[in-house]
Amino acid sequence: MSDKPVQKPEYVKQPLTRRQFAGRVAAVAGLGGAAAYLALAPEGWLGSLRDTTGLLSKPVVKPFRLHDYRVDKPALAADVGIGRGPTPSERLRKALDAIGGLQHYIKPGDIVVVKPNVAFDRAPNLGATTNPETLETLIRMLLVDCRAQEVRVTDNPIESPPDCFAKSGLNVATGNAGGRVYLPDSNAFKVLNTPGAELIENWAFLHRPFTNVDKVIGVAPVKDHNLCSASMRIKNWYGLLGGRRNQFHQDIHSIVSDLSIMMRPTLTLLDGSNILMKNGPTGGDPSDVKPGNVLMAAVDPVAQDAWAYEHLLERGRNYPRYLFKAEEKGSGRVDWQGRIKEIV
Amino acid sequence: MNHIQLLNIEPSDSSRSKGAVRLPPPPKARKFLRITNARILSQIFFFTMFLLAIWATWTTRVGGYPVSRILEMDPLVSIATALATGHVYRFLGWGILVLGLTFLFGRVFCNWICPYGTLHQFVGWLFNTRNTSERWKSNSYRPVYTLKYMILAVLLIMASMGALQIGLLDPICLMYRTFSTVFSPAADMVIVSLEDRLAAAGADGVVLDAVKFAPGVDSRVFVGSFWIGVFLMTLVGMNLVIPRFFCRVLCPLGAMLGAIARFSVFRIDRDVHKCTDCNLCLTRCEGAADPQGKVRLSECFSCMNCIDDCPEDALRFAAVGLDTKQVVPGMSLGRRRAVFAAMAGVLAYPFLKNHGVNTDENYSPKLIRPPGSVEESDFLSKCIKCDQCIKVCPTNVLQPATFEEGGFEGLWTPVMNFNIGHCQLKCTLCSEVCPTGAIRRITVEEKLGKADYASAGPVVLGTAFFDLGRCLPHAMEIACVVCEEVCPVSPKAIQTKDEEVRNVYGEIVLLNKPFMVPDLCIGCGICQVECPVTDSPAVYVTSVGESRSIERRLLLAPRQHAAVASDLIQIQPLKHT
Amino acid sequence: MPRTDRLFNRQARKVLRRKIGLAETVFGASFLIVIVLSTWWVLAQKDNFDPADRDISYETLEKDSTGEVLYEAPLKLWVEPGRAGTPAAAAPDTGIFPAAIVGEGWSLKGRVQDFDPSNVYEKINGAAEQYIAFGFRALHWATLTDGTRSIAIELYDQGTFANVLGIFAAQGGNQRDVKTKGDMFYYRTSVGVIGGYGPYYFKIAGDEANETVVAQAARLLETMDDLPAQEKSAPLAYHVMTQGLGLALGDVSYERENVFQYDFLSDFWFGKAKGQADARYFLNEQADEAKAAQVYERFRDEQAHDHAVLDQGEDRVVMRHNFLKTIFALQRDGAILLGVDGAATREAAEGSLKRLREAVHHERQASPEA
Repeated sequence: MSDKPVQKPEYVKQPLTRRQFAGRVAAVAGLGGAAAYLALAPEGWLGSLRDTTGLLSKPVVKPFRLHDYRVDKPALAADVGIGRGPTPSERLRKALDAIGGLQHYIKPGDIVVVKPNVAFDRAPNLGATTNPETLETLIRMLLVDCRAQEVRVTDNPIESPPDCFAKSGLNVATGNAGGRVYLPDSNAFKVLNTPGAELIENWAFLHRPFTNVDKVIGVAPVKDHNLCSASMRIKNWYGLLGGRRNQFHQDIHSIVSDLSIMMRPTLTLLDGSNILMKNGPTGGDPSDVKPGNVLMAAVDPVAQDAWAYEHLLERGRNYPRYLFKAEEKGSGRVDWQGRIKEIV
Repeated sequence: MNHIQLLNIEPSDSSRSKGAVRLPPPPKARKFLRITNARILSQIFFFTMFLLAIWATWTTRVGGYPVSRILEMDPLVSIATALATGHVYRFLGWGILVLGLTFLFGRVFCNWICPYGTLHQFVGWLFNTRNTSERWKSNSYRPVYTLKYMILAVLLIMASMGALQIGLLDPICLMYRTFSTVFSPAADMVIVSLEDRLAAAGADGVVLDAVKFAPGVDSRVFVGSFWIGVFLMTLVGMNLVIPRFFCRVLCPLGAMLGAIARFSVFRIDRDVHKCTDCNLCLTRCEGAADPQGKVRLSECFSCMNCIDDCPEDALRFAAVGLDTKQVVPGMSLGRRRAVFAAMAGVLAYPFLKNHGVNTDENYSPKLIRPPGSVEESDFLSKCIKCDQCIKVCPTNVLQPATFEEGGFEGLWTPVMNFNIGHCQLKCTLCSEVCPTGAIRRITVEEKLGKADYASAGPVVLGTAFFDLGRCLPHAMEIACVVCEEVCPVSPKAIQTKDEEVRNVYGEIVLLNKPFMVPDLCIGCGICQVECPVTDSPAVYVTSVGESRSIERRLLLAPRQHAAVASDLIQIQPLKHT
Repeated sequence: MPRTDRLFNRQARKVLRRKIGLAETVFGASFLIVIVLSTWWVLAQKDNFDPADRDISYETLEKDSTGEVLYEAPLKLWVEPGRAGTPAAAAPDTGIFPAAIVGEGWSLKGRVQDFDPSNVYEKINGAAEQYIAFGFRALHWATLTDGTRSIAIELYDQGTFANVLGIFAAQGGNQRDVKTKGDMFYYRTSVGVIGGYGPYYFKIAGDEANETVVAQAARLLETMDDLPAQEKSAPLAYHVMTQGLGLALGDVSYERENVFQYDFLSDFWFGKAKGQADARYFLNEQADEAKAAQVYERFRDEQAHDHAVLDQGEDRVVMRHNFLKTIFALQRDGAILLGVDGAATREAAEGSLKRLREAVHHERQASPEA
C-alpha cells in the first residue's frame, strides 16, 4: 500500500449496492435467457424462432375454395335456351324464359356477380367485348325483377383495366343499371384451389368481388380464336384469373376445360348480337363482325358452346377439343340434341 | 463536457506527479499475463481464425470446418434476419454467445473479437503520428459518434419490413466480403508470381499451393471487386483522421452492442480518490469513452488500455463496488435524431422496393441465383452480402451483383455469370456455407431431383437460349456442337437436327444443328461457358424458368416424356349426326 | 516523445500501471489455455464431416433412372439443287446393297460407306489385318434406323468363297449353329446374323437385342440374294463336302498353298471323315484333265517316297505310310483329284474313297455348270 495522497477528498462515492447488482445480474440473465430460448430452442417448441432448414420463412399461401353457385333448373325447362328478337332485352327475356325464368334462379336479397368480357378497349359493336345494352338489361332485371341486393360487375382484362371498362361502354352500362364495377387491384387476388384441375389446381383468382356472393352469371360474346378455335362462354372465365396467364397458351384446351370446373356458375349467357367471325379474339375492324339476333342462356355451358360453335360461328361439327375435355371432367355434355329450346 | 479544457497539463511523462511515491514496476510474469496482453492474444486468435476461415472456404478444404461461424456469431446478423424473416436459421443461434458476452462485459466484441476492429486498431497503431495531447483530442467523445445509432435504427427498421441491408455496413460481412473477393485473389496473384520465380530458379514451385486461397484452378476474378476493395480501404484509411473511425461513427453492430452494454455487469470503474485528472487514460482509449470522467458504457470497447496507462492505478474493470456516479449509458442520441432516423428507416423501405428493377414483371435476365436460393423477395430479406458462397464456389461462376442485376437492393448479393464459369453439377457448397439461409442448405439429391425429390424435379437456375445468328452450325455451315456435348443432364437438354450441307468450299459437311429442350434444361451454364463464340455466346442462360420462383417460370408444365405422336390436332366427331 | 525517425508506431508504449491483481493474472493464464484449446478444437473440425453428404450414391441414380429415350429426327441428306422432287432424288443411294434394304419403317442413316484395303483400318482398326490375310478386297458398310433403333450391315468382299469360309472359321463361325440356305450359310446372334454368301462375308448387327432388330436382320438376310457377284454359288468341292458327304461346316476346311507340304499342290478342300479319327477326305479341282493327270502323277510319285504302294490302277493308287501305317488313297476323276488321307485300314480307305467319288458324281449332276 502506497502513501499516495487521497485525491478530491470531498467527493463521495456512490457504490453499487448489493440489490442493484443482483438486479442487474437478474436483468442480464433474464434478457440473455429469453434471447437464448428464442434462438436456440428446437424448432416446433412454443415461441421458438429456430428454423433449421430455411423453409419456415417461405411465404405461406393459403388457398381458398369457391362455392358451387349452381341452382337446379325447373323440371320441364331446357338446358339451353335460345332467344331471338330485334332488341337485346327481348332476346334476354326469351332465352331466360326458355330455361325457367330468371326469377327461378335469383332470389330476393341475393348478391350477384355478373362477369362480362371486358378484355380489350374496343367499341361495343366490334364484338370483342360484351354488348353494354345486354349487360344493362340484365342488371336491371336482376335488381328490379329479382330484387337482388347487389350486382357486382368484374373482370381482369388483358389490356389496361380502366381503359377497357370505359371504352367498351360497360362502365357506363353498369352505372346506369345500378351495379358496381370491381377493378383488379394488386390486393384483389388470392390463390384459388380447384380440386381435380389438371393444370390450374392452385392459381391466383380475382377474389375480392366474390366475398359473400350468392349467385354468379357470366355474359360473353361469341368470338373466333385462332389457338383455341373459338372463345365463347367457358373460356370467358379466364378473365377471373391473375398471375402468369400467358403460360396457358402452351396447353390451351386443357386450361379451358379446367376453367369449366373452376367456376360453377348459376347461369351462363352467350350473346350473339355481334358475332366476331374472324381476327378474334381482339377483332378491331367492323368487317370482322356479323350482327345477329340471338342470345343464349344455359345451365349447361358445354352444350351452349357447342351449339354456338355450330350455328353462330357456322363452323360445323368440328367442335374444339376443350369441349370434349370439359365433358370428361363432368362440366356438361357436348351433345345438345333434345336439350335446347328456342323462342322466336 | 470536455475535460481537456479544464486542465493545464504539459504533454510530458506524467508518471512524475507531484508528491507521489513511485512504486516498483509489477513482476514480469504478471505483466506478461495482464489483461491487455490477453486482449492482444484474443485479437490475434480471432483474426487468425478469420483468415483460416477465408482460407478454408474452398472446395477442397472445407471439410468440417465451421467456416461461416464468425458470421453466425454476429448478433446483428441474427437479430436483423430474425426481424426480417421471423425466424432464426440453422446456426445463427451462436449470436447468443456474443450477446451474452456483451451483457456481462460490455462491448468486448469490438476490441477482443471483431477482426475489422483489430484491423482498424492495427492500422491506427502502425501509422499514428500524433503526440500525447493530440491523442487526447482525437480520443475525446464527439457528437458525430451518435451517427452509428441512427444507422442502426434505419437498418433495423428496414429489416423489420423485409429489406435486409445490414450487410453493407456490418463489419464481419464487410471483412468476409472484401477478403473473399479482393484480398484472396490479390494474395493468390502474389503467390503465383512467387511460385513462378521459384520454378524459374529450379526449385519446386508447387510447395506454395497450400497457402493459395484458391489452388488448383485458373486465377479468379470478381466483378466489381475494385469498389468493394476501395470501400474497405477508404474506411481503414479514415483511421488516420479519426482513430477507429468506422467503429465509432458507422458500425451498426457496435451500435447495437453499445445499446446493450448499458446493462453490462462488468465495467470500467474510476476511483475518484486516486485519480489525479492527468488524462493519460485518454491517450489510447479506443472507444472514446471518457474514462477520465464519466465512462460512457455504450462507447467503451473494454480494450483495457486506460488501465495500463493510469499511473495511479485508479482504473479497474470490475463488477462489484462500482461507483455509479462515474458511469453514464452514453448513447446521447437525443429525441430529434432518433425521430429523424426512424423516418429515414420507414421511408427507405418503399424507396427500395418501388425502384422497380427487381420485380416479377421487370427482372434482369442476368439475375441468376445460386442453387438452393429461396425466392427473390425472401432472398433479399436474408442475404447479408457476406459473399461466402462466392468464395467457396469452385468454378468462379458466382460473382457479386452490380446494380444491373438486382438494383441497389441486390448490390453485392451473389449472381451467376456464365461467361466466367458454370455451376458444377454435384456441388452444393454455396448452400452449406450460407449463414442465413438465403441459399437454403440442399443435398445433391435435391439439386438433381432424385430420391425424395424426384417428384419435385431438379433445381433449375434458368433456361438456355440459342442466338442462331451466331451459332456455327446454324449460321456458318461449320460443324460444332460443343454445347450438346457438355450438357450434363440425361437425356440432354440440347438435342440436334442433323443435316448434310454442301458448304461454300464445295465440301459436303455434316452439321449437327442444336436446339433447346427447355423441359430438361437446369440452367447450369456450361453450354454458355464452352461456346466458342466467347464474346457474346451463341447459347446463353437467362433467369426465366428458375424453379425457385413460381412467377418467373417459363413452362406451364413439362411435356410428356418419350416420343409419342401427338394428338393435338385430332378432333373427335359426334357419335351421331 | 514521438520518434520522428521511425516509419511505424512512432510513439512507443509505456505501461504505467503498477499494481496487477492476482485475479487478473489468473484470468490471463486461464484465458491463454482457453485460446489454445479453442485453436485445437477448430483445427480438429477438419474431418468432422461426411463426404457422402456432398455426393449422390450410384444406387440412388439407378433407382431414379428415367430411362427416357427422346425422338431423334433422321439425318437430312444433301440433295443437289435441281434434283429435288425427282424419284431418283427421293430414293436413298444404297450403293452396292440392294434397294430392298430400306423400307417398312427402316431408312438409311447417313450414306453407305465403302472402304478398300488401304483405308479399311479407319473403320475397323486392328481387325482389318485378319480380313486382309483372307484376301480382303472391299468393305461396304450401311446403317439403317427406324427412328429409335439402328442396324449396321457390314459386307466384306473377300474375293472367293474359300476366303469367306476361311475368315468365317477364323472368327469362330464354324463352332456355332450354322444354318444353310442354298449356297448361303449363316448363324444367328442375339442382335443379328453373321454368315457368308459367294465372295461376301456379311455381318448384320443391331444396337440392342430385341424382336424388331432380329426381325429386320432376318429380312435383310433375304435381300442378300440380290447382291451383285460373279459367282455366288459355292465351288463344287464345298457342295461335295457339305451336301454330298453331309459334313458339318466345322469339319470342312481349305488350304490354299503348300498342301501336304508340296509346293506344286494348292487349292485343296478337306473334310473330316465321320467316325474315323484322323482320316480326312480331300478334293482338288484342276483346270483341265491334262493338268489333273500331270498333278496326279507327280503327287503319286512324291507320296511313294514314304509310302508303300498297296494297290495301283490307271488313275488310282492306295498306299500305306511306312511309319504311321495309315492308308493314303488317291484317285483322278476327269479334272478332279480326290482321295482319303490318314485312314486306319485299307477297307476304310477304300470305303471312304468310294463314298467321295459317289458324292462328286452326285454333285456334278446336281449342278451342271461345275
